[in-house]
Amino acid sequence: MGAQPTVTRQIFLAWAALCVSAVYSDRLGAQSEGARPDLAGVFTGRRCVPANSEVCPEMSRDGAAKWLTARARAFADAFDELAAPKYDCWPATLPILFGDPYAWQIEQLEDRVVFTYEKDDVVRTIWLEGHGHPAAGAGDFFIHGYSTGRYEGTELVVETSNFIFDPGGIAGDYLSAPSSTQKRLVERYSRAGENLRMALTVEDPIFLLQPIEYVMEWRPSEEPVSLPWDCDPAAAQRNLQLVPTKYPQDPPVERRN
Amino acid sequence: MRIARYVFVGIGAYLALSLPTAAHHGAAGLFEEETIELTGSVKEWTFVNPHPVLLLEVVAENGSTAVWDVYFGPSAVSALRRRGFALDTFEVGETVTVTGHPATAPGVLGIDVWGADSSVSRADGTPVP
Repeated sequence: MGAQPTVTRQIFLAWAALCVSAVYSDRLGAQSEGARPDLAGVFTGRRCVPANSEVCPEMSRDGAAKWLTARARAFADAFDELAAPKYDCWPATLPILFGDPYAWQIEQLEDRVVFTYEKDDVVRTIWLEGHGHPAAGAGDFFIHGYSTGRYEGTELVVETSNFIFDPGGIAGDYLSAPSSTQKRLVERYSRAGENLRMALTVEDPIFLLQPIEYVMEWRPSEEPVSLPWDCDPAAAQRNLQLVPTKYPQDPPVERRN
Repeated sequence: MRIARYVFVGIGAYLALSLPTAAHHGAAGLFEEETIELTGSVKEWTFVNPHPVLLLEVVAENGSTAVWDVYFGPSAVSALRRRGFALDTFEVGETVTVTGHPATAPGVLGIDVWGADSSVSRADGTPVP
């Protein structure tokens, strides 16, 4: 008989411990949700990790060759540099933008993260999940896609879809490879010491045989991003003379600025 | 005064030394591996994006004049500014000597001066910037 109060007390204590544990785990969860990694700042000096090169090999058409589908290669072979939209100041697109040697800035707001790139005045808004932001509609397509994000431990995870068709959307600059409206990017940002690290996955079932993955890092910059970029079409078009057209039999093109 | 000097000064270190240009421009081979030296007068200096424009009027030994387009690799205004270039770095009419890699495209008078084996200097030899 004397043991019964002890058992009852043990059951009570176990129940109490579970309650306390539940409350604390809830609080800890809330804290970890609130304690997002500090990724804010201006970054520059991109490097591919661990290749230790300025851009990752996969960012060039040759480097990405083994991932490209036959239709991607065929498109790239037929595509004429003269038709590249960058000569009309079309901005650098993802993921090629990551390889450009210019500074960019991360701002972490409560319901969104804003990436501002020096290159081409590109601004990306990452809509954080759980804040009631509307999803992109079926007919919504954007040059830099539609991005949502969430914090996972020490990482900011950004998922981007709804890209427009892009003749240089997998690899690019002079020798490019296209991306489709099915392209999807997953960027995982974290700190590597004081540097900013991004682990990137690029998927495109139409133009890639399998996802391409690579890792890049940027170091903090003491200077602010230099804005505006303010692209000059005439200056952009000067570079076109460096790449002879594949179709000299076609009439010459006078671009409208 | 504006005497053109087309002088081959070296082959070799380009691939290693001009990696930023090569990386940005892919394997397209837009510029030769060899470097040449040109002296001419500034016809235009436009400090704009995506690539600042420096046009150099060069007089060849036979007396003919040609305008060369000087490229600073993949660099835009911000990158050049960080290296010390500015809106007033060059004055129209001043004499400038550049060493760099000529364009591979047939008939194109372009030269890339961004690699470590390239240079830009004023008439008195002062490096620019």
